[in-house]
Amino acid sequence: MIKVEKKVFTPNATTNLLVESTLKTLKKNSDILDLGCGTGYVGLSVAKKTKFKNKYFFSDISTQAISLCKRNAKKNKIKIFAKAGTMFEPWEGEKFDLIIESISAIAKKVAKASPWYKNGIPCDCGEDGTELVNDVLKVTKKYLKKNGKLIFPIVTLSNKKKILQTARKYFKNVKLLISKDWPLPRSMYTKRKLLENLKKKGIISYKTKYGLILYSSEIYIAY
Amino acid sequence: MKNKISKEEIIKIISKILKISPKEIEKIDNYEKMDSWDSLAQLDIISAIDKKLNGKIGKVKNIAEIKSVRKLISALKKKSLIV
Ligand SMILES: C[S@@+](CC[C@H](N)C(=O)[O-])C[C@H]1O[C@@H](n2cnc3c(N)ncnc32)[C@H](O)[C@@H]1O
Repeated sequence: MIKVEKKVFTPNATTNLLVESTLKTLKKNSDILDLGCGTGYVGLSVAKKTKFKNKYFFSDISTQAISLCKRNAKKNKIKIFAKAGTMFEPWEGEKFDLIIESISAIAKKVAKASPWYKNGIPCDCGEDGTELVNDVLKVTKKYLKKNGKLIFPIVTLSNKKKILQTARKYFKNVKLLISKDWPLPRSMYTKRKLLENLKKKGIISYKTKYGLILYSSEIYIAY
Repeated sequence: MKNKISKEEIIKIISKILKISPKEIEKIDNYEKMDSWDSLAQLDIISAIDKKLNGKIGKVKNIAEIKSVRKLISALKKKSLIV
């Protein structure tokens, strides 16, 4: 249903959690923005799975992602509005009922060691992974309608504490919707030392169980 | 029976998680070969067995590396965790 391409982020386990939590939150006649949309998987899956008539908007810094997202929408016969641009730049002066934000947020060295950010997929989010998401959190309210809501993930391979602090500073309510543990890809076990170091510094967090390294994806709603 | 698991229960757990019939699982044995297997399925399999064993699965070293029903049963047997 959704095509992927080498130079566009491949939807992963966190992506599916975003779909699941959005479907639980969704209201009819909403304007929905998928910010950092990649292939468009989140917004398009939501559009396919809901019976509500909503308007769907997509953006990503990657022009390849936007081109793919448009093709995916066409293939699935979903009408969308999609623009390339950084953060909220494509949406100056617009407001949404629901923003699903999943712009890259993973510690730089972890991203480099991971299979997720190959082939130049944009991930300029700093040493602790918080730079882009925190900048987004600071201005999101400006792009939300009255009673509008933001859904965003925190992957614990970034500084969760710092992201939550920012979210709580700019939103009255920040609630955890879903949390799930995932085993780290096997290819990353060779970087164990690096991971331990980052964990010690409080930059990332993970647990070990049954000899596996488990990180978590947590999906939050803020309003 | 407490803190122990039977071969049938193990196969049932794997079959449910990988969405493959118990017969097929037994025949294939090495369930890593199945399309529905991935590291997340492996975590779910270990967690489900561990639940039945009341958290005793840690007795088996390198449990995450085992992806064959026979090897799994043999490792659990060595630690007296099989009925
Ligand atoms: C973790 S991926 C999520 C993609 C998609 N939502 C999914 O779950 O499959 C992060 C996305 O953020 C995009 N991105 C990175 N920096 C960005 C920026 N400054 N502004 C907008 N999008 C950005 C990347 O191109 C990538 O598609």
